[in-house]
Amino acid sequence: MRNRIDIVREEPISIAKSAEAEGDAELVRRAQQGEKEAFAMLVCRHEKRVYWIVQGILQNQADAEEVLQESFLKALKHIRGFRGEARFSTWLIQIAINEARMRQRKYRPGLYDSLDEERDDPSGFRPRELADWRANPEEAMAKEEMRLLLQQAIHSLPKIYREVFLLRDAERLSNQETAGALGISISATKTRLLRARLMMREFLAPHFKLSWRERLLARVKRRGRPRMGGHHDPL
Amino acid sequence: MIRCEEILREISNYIDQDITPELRRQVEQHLGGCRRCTVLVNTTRKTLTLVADNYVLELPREVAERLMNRLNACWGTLFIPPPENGLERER
Ligand SMILES: [Zn+2]
Repeated sequence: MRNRIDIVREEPISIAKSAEAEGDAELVRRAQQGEKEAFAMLVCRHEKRVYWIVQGILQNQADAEEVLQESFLKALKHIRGFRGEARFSTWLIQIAINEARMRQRKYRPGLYDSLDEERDDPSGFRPRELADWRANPEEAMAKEEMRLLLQQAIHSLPKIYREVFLLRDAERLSNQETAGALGISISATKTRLLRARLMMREFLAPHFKLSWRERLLARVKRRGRPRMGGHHDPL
Repeated sequence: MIRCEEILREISNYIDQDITPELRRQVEQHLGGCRRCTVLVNTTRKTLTLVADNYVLELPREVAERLMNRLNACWGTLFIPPPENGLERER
């Protein structure tokens, strides 16, 4: 483990992302002064991601809608206390995650915590699907089918991995923002992310791996022509 | 030469380019000679691309409407207006 590093490195924030944050800051300022339209604009900007994050965590549409509403109500209630140390979106996501967790505990106690928390050690994870994938998995299925499959894959993750994966790889938050929103350390974020990604890959692999015939062709290509005399077509 | 298990541990950081140049060099050296790990890295990376490309956020219109309605209804009771004399203003 000598090589393991754990320094905090700020990921580059894209121009679009910081422009969005800048617009948010202005809207927040106006909302804090009581401008209803400014708050409504913030809602329009962020309602989708909040909904999909909580939907991803709760996996239930009715619950997700309820938490969506509660989150924005809470944001409204505390908007004047928001001092802009974090971006508005990060602050909002943090509220939403807390609301989602509260709802889980209230309505589905015992279903999560004990089951999930103890699996926080990715060192035991061994990938089993080791065959290569076809070059363009997108071409293997229709767009809608692909989205459904990815949703199933995300839903198959235990909660602690799902949360991290949703924020990091679906929402594209940084490690630091993800850690902040989930209330865990950056190193725990990275550890869980690794496990989440490997599990996602494992789930998807059977759908995208090369067929027996394609594998054989690929192997022939790598190693050159087979030594079978006179046979030009290996199949 | 680092081993396959170490590659497995660093896959995520490697993909995020969140490792030291020295470790990166070692990982790449390993990948050059290990097909199993190369497949693992490539397919993990592909997994992330697929998720990023297909993560489209849509909100059912009724859900958005109900949210706005609820916020509208609660605005008066939840929002604490700033003091009118502007005492809070910075300048
Ligand atoms: Zn290897």
